Amino acid sequence: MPGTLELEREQEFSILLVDDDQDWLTETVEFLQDQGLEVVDTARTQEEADSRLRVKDYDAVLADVELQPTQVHGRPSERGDDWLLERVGQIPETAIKAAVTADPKRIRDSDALEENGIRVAVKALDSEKLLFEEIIGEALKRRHRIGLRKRIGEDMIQRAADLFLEWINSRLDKASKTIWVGARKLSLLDIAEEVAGQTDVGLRFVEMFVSHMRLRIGLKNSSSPE
Amino acid sequence: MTVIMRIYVAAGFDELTTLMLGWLAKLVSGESKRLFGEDASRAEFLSNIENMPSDNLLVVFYGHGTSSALLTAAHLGSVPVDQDKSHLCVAKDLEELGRVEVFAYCCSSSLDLGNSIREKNYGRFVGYRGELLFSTAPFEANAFERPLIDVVTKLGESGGVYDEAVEDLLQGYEMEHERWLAGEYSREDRSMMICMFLEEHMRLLDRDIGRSG
Repeated sequence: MPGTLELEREQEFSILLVDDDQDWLTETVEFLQDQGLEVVDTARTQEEADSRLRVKDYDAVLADVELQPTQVHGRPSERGDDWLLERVGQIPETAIKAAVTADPKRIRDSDALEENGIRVAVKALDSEKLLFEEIIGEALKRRHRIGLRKRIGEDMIQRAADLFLEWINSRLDKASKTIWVGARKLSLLDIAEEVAGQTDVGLRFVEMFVSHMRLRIGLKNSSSPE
Repeated sequence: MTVIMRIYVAAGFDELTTLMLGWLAKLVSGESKRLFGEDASRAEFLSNIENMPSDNLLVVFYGHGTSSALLTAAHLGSVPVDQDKSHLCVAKDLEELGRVEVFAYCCSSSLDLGNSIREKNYGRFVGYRGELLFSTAPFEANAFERPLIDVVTKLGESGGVYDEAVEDLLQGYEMEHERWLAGEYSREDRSMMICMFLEEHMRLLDRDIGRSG
């Protein structure tokens, strides 16, 4: 049974694009911002990219494989895919990481990329579009959750979620899946896991619970003797 | 006298929609076309509206929906939504018709499909603006059947979505909610959850039904 909820405040989804092609950077930033993503940082060199990584944990990092080599402290710098492999430890494990290229044949070590959770996205083809849809999808879900939390109120969420989990805990029926959320069939245990996991469904239940408690309190107050 | 074609649709292909089919089957009135179970196919639906005796259509639908479509089982419809469901009806199917009135007991269809019918068909649409929640547990499930009985019966008898349909539906929900909040079912184990779900139904019920005919 999921226990007490430990909530972290979510920040807006952030992306770092690393590419020396300014046109591609400009186009991609505009596209992402049109889709509602606000935090889109860019870097044209590895030095710039390194300094970005030092100050922020990004939710997605995309680096061009053909990043032009530059001299960094007197030695040639790495290609984009090699740079990502070197920096993977400095990027949150949950972040989307991708080596972007116009020609997938230029990828030298696709096994190493895969082992480190780095995808390959081909510019101007469907796979790149899919990647952006996934990034945009994740970003919008994050924004939805942030909106839910604002509506519930950050100070209310922890207590409400704990109370709701207590209610569920006292009524657990692991075998029974009888709750439908849209077309999804769930049990109370499933809902408890959603609440503890801070998913959209979980936060929706917390919001419904808070709203219901406010209704009950309103009813209690209205029936109190004057 | 205006001739109205009434079509009642409920595909019944999973636990929830099978339950909903049972609910709707009890409410079909008069001379109406029933598209239940395997008959709830897109082909059958389109065939019926193509051969309508008049320009006026009333559709009563119980099942799953999206913002732009009423859904049926995967093998009965057209565009797949997922492995279990596909499109039964979208706005384009109804564009050439005269007056269209729809009562849709499903998620979200009042958003795009409902707006289209209200604006393009100058028709009426009673539906919901988001994802609905249900319990299919014995006894609890009745909480989601009862609020609609009077309204659906009345609109079937009158042949259309009458002016007070949403108010009557809200009243049905309020009465059911009261049973679970403070009335005869308030001591049921999951009464609080049933109340929460009913409150969500009421919140998501679209108050805009469109213009009168």
